[in-house]
Amino acid sequence: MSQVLEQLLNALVIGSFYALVALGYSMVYGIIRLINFAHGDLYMLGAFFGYSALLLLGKTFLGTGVTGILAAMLTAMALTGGLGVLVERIAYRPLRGSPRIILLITALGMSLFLENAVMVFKPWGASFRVYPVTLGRAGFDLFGVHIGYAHLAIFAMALFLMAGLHLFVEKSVWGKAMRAVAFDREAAQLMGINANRMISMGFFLGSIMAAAAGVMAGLYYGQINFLMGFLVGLKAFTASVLGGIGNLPGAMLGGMLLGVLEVFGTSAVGGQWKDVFAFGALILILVFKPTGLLGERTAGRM
Amino acid sequence: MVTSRNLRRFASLCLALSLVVLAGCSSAPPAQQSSGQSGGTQSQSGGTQTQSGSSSAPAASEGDILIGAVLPITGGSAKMGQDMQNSIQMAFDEINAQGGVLGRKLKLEVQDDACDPQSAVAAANKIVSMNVVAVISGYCSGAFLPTEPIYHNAGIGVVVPAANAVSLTEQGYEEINLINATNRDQARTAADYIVNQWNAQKVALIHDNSAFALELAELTREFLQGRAEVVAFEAITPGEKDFSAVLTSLKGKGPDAIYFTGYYAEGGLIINQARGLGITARIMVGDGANDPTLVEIAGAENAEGVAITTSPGAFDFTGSNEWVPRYREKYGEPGPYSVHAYDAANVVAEAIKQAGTTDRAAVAKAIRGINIEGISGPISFTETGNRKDGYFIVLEVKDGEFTVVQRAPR
Repeated sequence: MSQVLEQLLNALVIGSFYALVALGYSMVYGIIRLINFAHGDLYMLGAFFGYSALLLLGKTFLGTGVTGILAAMLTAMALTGGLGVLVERIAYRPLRGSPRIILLITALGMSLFLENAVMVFKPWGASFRVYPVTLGRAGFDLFGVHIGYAHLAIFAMALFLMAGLHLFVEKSVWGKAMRAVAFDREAAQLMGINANRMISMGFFLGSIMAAAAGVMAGLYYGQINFLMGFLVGLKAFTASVLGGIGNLPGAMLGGMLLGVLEVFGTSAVGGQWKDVFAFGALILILVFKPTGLLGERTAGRM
Repeated sequence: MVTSRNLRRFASLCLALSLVVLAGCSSAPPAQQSSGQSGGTQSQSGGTQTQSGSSSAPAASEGDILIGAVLPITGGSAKMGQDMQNSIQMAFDEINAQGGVLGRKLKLEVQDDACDPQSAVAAANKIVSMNVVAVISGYCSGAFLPTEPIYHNAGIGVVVPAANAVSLTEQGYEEINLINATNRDQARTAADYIVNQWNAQKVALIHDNSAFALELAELTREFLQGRAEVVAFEAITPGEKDFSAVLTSLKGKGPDAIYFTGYYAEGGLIINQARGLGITARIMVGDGANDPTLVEIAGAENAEGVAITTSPGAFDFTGSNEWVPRYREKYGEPGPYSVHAYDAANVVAEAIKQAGTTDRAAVAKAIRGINIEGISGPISFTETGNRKDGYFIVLEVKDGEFTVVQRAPR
């Protein structure tokens, strides 16, 4: 019993990372119908920005305590968000009218470009980097289950970010405008909405979510490298399809579900089956409910 | 509105551009010489010659003896490839400074295998088509294995600095020579240590499904048979960061010792996460995980007491006492296979000297018959191409440092 609970905690942490990254996939798909395969690499870039920020900020009055970590996280989110907007501006916007397959290929190219750019960038490089601070494994025991503070902090942070994004998209004027662009870009433009700006905003929001996940993963696992975004990107894509791509609550649900599926699949039949569970679920959902768990058949995504 | 044709043209242009950029990135150090031959663009042929201290021109000049190296320059093992390239370049620079071989200078031609079988085959084909006399190749066994027939068909002698899967020399090619002892020696060393030193009754084996790590885990299981119970035989996915699920279920089986046979990035995380979950079993890792970064990733207190089976590396060579500072001065901290790559380079140089010619077959033959004193001790090869008297040692992490706890008898 206690092992099941322990596994559930593991699943929540993994699921948080997947969910945060999946949000970006869903949002970008919701607005411009593009599966941004470079999104996993924004998660990686977030981790690297956070790494450098922690190294630099750790030397200032902020230190490497909670304030330092939060400052580094915000820095990484801002930088990655900007980069996400830049990626859209130079790689996707010029091709917006072209067939979707071309956008897809560009996204793959962008992904490879970002990975290799980080690899040749001197202060980061090809080798594994160890985070200057790592979240301890300290915690408390509850009914024989060890509950780490880090687990709770990550889960809480992820919930906070997801709730914030949800409120922003549902309640604010900007969110409304974004949804309008997602619903019908031309009609929205006719109503005076600057569609380009809304699309940029979608990329920005998605990127900062990925960056937050990247920094938290760096803090939690302690180790980052330039290829870390690839697998997480694939899994997060799976998660967003699972929940219904283009649907934000669906992305969160899909991420959490995928975490649970992976962890319990692993403990049931062994580690080598982990990815089989994840991608098996993807195939099943595509066969039986192609719109995903929360996806609707009609428009009105976001 | 722009016509779709224009757009398409623009798209393909963008794609082509990004590919050019990628090609430039992914093969930055090695691409130089080759682009010079094909009259490549200026942007490609400029720079990055800083690696080679020699005064060689970009295009292959008549006087130089070309030696090929196929190493992981990109991908997850890029750091190891860089370490090895540095060592080989250092050896060549030293030899060239003393007048070279047969009165000619040695010149290094590097190709990237990215630790990936497909890229490795492409890289090997390319190296073979160039005018190289011998090849230094092999970090990841899985990537190196499919290139063996290519070298065999071309009759090129190969010295393998790091890869050590048993299957590498089982093919019976007379061109392939390992600087390392094989996985079988490593598995025996690991099993003996786990049973004799740790008195472990229950052992868990974890591998990462790569050809090398799987083979090592399987051989270890064989050697443990009848001496200890293997309670778990698990695989993890390389590149993954979260192993808590595997480890939590492992915890329920209560192993006394865990042996992880994969590479250091995952090894460090496994140590860290196992301790975080309260697993107190002794942990041992294979030579793929032999890198000081392992301790950093695991965290010093978690890594304390972790054992590593490894080829005698920069950490335990009498000859390396003066070699390590020499390397450090040029390239910083040596990696676990820096010494082996340096020795491999010297084996090739010496073989050409002994052959007295740059004929590939003669050099390949001379490599097999070599007998020199390397930094890693005396180097000569058996009939099958394994290192004569090769052996593995055991290190343990003490106060965050790798400390030799067992030297196998020579």
